[in-house]
Amino acid sequence: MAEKKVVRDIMLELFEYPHIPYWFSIEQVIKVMKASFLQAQKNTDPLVVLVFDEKYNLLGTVTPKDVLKGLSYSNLNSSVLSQFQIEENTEPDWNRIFSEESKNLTQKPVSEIMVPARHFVDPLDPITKAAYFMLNFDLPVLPVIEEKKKLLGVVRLFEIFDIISDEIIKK
Amino acid sequence: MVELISRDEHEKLYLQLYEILKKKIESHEWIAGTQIPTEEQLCNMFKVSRATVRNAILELVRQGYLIRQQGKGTFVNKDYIENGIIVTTILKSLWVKDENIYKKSVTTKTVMMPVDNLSNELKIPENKHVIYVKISWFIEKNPSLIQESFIPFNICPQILEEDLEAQSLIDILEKKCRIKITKIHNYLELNLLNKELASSFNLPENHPVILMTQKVFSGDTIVLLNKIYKREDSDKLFITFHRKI
Repeated sequence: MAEKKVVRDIMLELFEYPHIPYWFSIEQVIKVMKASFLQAQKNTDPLVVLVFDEKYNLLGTVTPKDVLKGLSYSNLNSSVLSQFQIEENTEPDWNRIFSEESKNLTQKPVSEIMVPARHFVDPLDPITKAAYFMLNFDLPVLPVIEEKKKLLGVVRLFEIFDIISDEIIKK
Repeated sequence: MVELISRDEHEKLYLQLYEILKKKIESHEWIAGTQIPTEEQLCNMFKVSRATVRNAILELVRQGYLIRQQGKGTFVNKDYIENGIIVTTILKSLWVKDENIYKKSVTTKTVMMPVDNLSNELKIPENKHVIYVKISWFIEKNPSLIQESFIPFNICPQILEEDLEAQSLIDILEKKCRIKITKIHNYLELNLLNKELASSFNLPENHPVILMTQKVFSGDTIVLLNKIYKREDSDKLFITFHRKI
């Protein structure tokens, strides 16, 4: 199934996506997302910003979802809803999820909310391998590394879906 | 003597011819105000095509070395060469009294988006990638200068692959990416260090330093923005102006 196509065939250029260094604040990430996706009317799905270190090594990714989670009350952990409820069986106070505290949180570095890049594929790997990583680790994009060193690009689920679903339907 | 163009070099022929003709002007082999050989003569002299000659001459006209007079020919521009104060040190890697006393350390070479005011300063849209370089210049063990450089990615992507400790950004722009620097604007101001820069200098936050903001142009395009922070110490910034003879 889809063995013939390899990762290189569906890889996107790195510069399709905005880049930031890890020391950028969440506020700066928000500005980057607005300028790159909303104002530029470029909705390259998924909306992902790539986070790099001082030597241009990929550290991780950050999405609008990661930003909102980072700014939410206690990062929406499992016990938070019970804290919102004043009495049993009452509706939680949803306004408290994003409160005054969220503004302070915008000054945190992006490194605290990004999803670290831990999984990589080689350009000659089969697409099914990329599919496995993306599905199992819920990744917005998967970095493609050549000879375990040089970052070449990323793959996203859209192209993986396109090729694998075609193969399945044909069969 | 006719210098020969090397066809083995990767450098484009018209750029080689440009350099050869420029030398003829700067060495006064071609005297200011006189007419240069015709395109056909230059083709024969250097054994190159008319298009190569035309491109080289066009570049010399663009740089002000030559002027074209309708119906008469192309002449060496005497005003450009003979007059005017020219800043030469500006094209060196550093603008201090003696750069040999400095040890250069490139601490950052990465890519970012131009947030806050950076897109305005570079005159590029906020969704265009920018190469960010940070260099510390040490005297003995103490950082004396910190240089932050921003280059629009599309201007010279090759910078990411280059060894910046061995060469200056301006050299890479000019020699590797064939960007001709045409002017440089410098702004000097007193600046208070932010937390991150203060830490790099081992100084307290809000400590005063001199900030030189430098905009490097090719035509109307800003190809490099430098922000150079200089702490107070025994060394001084040094820029020389001289009349080119």
